Amino acid sequence: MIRLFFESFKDREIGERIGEDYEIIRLTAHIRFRTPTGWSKIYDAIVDTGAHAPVIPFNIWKDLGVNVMANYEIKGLNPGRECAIPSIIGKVVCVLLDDRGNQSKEIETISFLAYSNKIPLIIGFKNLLSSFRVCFDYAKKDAYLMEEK
Amino acid sequence: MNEEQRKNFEDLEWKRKHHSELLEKYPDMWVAIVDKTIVSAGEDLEKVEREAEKKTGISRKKIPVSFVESGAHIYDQVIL
Repeated sequence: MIRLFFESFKDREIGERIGEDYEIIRLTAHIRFRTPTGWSKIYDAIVDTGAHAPVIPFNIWKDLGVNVMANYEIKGLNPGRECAIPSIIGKVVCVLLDDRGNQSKEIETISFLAYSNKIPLIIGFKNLLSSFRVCFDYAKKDAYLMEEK
Repeated sequence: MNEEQRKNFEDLEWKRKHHSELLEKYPDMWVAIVDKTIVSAGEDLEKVEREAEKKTGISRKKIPVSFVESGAHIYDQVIL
């Protein structure tokens, strides 16, 4: 079992627009990546069940020794090219881990590697969430991943 | 888990718990955290890590960094 963490915060800008407090809840995980000489430091990443693959900012992936597969433009809710983030598609190796010493097996996953540092690190389904049972109960502040046997 | 990892987890937990306050000062920016203190912040992760290394003398490869996300960051293309 690998613990996940809720991050909840009030967004003042949205709150002002709608005239009431607006709480945003995110599910996060700890992750580190294999580098040519060992392992990266630990990062926190947004667990996004709406993302089909991980998205990794430039400064995190540039030292990972990525196996590049293709160029791509990441688009969000707005599919317009003016909103696209140039990226490449490549394979990285990572582990998910928590503050109690639990760690997943090494996972190789196709990822979207952004040529931007102005985006968060996102964990999506490809080879990651698809490899686990994902359980969360915000009311009880309990969330974790279970590796499928 | 070694001491460095334990401290990294503690610093990332501190950031999680203080996200609302950090969002006021550092919306949609990366922050570098050392001993539960923000040592540098900015939009460009590389600059944030370099500044943190310069200020603390700790290798940037060991300083935890995290993104202070606002809701608008993900949805800013549809909130007009």
